[in-house]
Amino acid sequence: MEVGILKNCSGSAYIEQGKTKIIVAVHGPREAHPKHLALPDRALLRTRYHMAPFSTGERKSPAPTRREIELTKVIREALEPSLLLEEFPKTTIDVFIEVLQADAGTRSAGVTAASLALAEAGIPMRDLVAAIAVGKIGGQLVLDLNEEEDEHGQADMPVAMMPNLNRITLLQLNGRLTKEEIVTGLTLAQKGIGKLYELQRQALKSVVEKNIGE
Amino acid sequence: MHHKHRDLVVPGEQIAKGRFHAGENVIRLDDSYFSTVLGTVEVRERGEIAVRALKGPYMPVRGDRVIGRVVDVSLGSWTVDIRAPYEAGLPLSHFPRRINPVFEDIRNVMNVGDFVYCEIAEFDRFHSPVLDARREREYGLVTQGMLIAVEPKRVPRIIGKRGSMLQLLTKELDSKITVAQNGYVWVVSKNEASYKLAIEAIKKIEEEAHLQGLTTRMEEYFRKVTLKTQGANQVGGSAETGSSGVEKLE
Amino acid sequence: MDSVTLLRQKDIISVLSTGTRVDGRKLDQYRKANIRVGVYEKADGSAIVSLGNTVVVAGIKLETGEPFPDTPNEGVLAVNLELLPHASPSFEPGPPDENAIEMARIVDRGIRESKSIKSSELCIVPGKKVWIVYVDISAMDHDGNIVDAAGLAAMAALLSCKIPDVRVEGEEFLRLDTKKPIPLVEKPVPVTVAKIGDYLVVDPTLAEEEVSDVKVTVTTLESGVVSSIQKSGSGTLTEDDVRKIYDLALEKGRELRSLLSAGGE
Repeated sequence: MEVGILKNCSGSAYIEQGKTKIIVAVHGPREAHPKHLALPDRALLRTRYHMAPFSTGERKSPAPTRREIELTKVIREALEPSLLLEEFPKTTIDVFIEVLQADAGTRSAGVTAASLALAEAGIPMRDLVAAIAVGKIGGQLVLDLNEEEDEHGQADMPVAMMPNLNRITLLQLNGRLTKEEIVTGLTLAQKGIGKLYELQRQALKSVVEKNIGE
Repeated sequence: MHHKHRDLVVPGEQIAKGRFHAGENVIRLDDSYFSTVLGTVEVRERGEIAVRALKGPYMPVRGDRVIGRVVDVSLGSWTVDIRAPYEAGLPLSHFPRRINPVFEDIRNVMNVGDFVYCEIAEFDRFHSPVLDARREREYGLVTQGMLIAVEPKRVPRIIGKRGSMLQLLTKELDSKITVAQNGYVWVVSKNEASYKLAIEAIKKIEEEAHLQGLTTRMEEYFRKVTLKTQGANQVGGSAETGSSGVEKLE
Repeated sequence: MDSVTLLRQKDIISVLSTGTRVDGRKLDQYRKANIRVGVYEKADGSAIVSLGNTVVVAGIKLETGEPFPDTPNEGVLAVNLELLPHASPSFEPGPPDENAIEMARIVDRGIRESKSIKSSELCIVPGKKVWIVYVDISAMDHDGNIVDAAGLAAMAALLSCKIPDVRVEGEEFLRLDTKKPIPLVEKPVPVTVAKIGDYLVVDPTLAEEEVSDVKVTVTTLESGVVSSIQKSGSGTLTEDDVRKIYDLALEKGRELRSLLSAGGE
């Protein structure tokens, strides 16, 4: 995970998780244009999840698909609870997530990187958000499926959490799981998210260390 | 306290537990105190814990001197981008001289794309910032020199303790330097070489802002640069360009 | 943020008159260019190019499809460019605007008109099935001259791209495991020159683009033949300008082309 790699935005982050590679840029808080979109008492969070045409096995047309539109919403709702949006009423905070290479787990990695980019931009938040997908293959619960595993697996459950507050901000299920499996899965996810959080911390702290090195 | 003064913390990290006072960029949950940004812990007096953010948007404060770019002109005012989450307004009546819109085309006074040096007259979260360019003689349209954009949070470092860094820059660059709180350094110089040196010097300050002893290092930096240029264009001897006068102010 | 604004065109021109630019470069000097290929394994070819602080990514996807009716035995090249909102606070998400489209078409023409790709070798079943080479370019960070970075990225990606061999059996065709490089016979390289006052500067930064009256992108081949020219912006050019620009494009084109071969810096 790396932060501060792009220069023309408020904050940026890059993540590689297995073969999945995602770059995120944040612009804002900035004046809302058009003005009627602005909320009177808080900032408006806008996100865009988009896959580069060369990111998938078969070329993906650059136009937004229904899946991208759904993930845009789900990711925004994963990040929103963490941000102190009331600090910037009537502004927008724009988060742009571009998947450069997709090998499953893109919404989870996207959330993790987006939270990093927001933190690098100095946007105040209650906690960072990290996410991971719990999968079921061959009857067994596992973490962070890759594409091949996802295709042959029985379930895919992405989970995002604010690790210090222990709150879930994204939860979806594709496939079939029993109640026990869900509960066990969440515990598994928590462990994975804890590890990701440590990597996020390191990435943020190394912004400072990087300068010392020069 | 889980962390001490000057420790680096990330958002959501717990700083302390107990009876303290939540300051800037710190939130309290029950009796625990957490950071909301990436920054360094500041333990202030009377049990106040704050975090100084490494980076963040410029929030206008009344009295701040700022430089902004005009983005819109209307009958009664200019809309100015001051690199903040909010665009600011400069009313006609706050311009240094009287303008009568009936006789004068406002756009000839100041148009979209022009820069203006002024101060924040009013700002609260529910109204756009209002600018005023009347109070100081230097306020008004910015017409010459160069503007270098810097991270607003680095501005105090560029000014230095009691202005020491700014004094050093002014002397070494032999230029007029104005530092705006919203992250602009305005340099007016008589020779081109100063502009390039200014850009490099300011970049260096920005990159090393968090390290100790920066003023001394900058003095050393300028000494080396002057020696290099002197070596390049004369035979011998070396003029003392040290800034020992500035050191005393530390 | 790294932006420097000179307030009067007069000041910028006086800096240029000293023979160097605000960032210390000579007027005919490119920024440090960095090219990395093969960065995305799922793409059939890929490259990241940075030109100073400008960063552009290109990815190639090979698909099979029907040829155009007027060229039944030739493969198809499709170049697309997106100015990602990452690259600048003023880029809006959404379909490419006229700038992105213009840039994509400049890169496309440079490759297509020079007949760089031997499209006849991209034919699988004449009249029915050909290779379609999609070159998708994304600008990630904008500090001027996205076009040249895009052209380099597209070329570098194509050079690193491999096409699967195909066996045709009647109506069916099978992709084999062996691959061969895309048949490239030329390496067109775009060179952009901006005119500021009377000065011609190559590889303009964002700040330089903003004060320039006109930009010209000339794409040349090793032989000196020009495969594309585009004048952009509402200023004007003299004939002398055009001659000088051609010379710059040829010289700088050769320098940049050698970076492509080196596959690195």
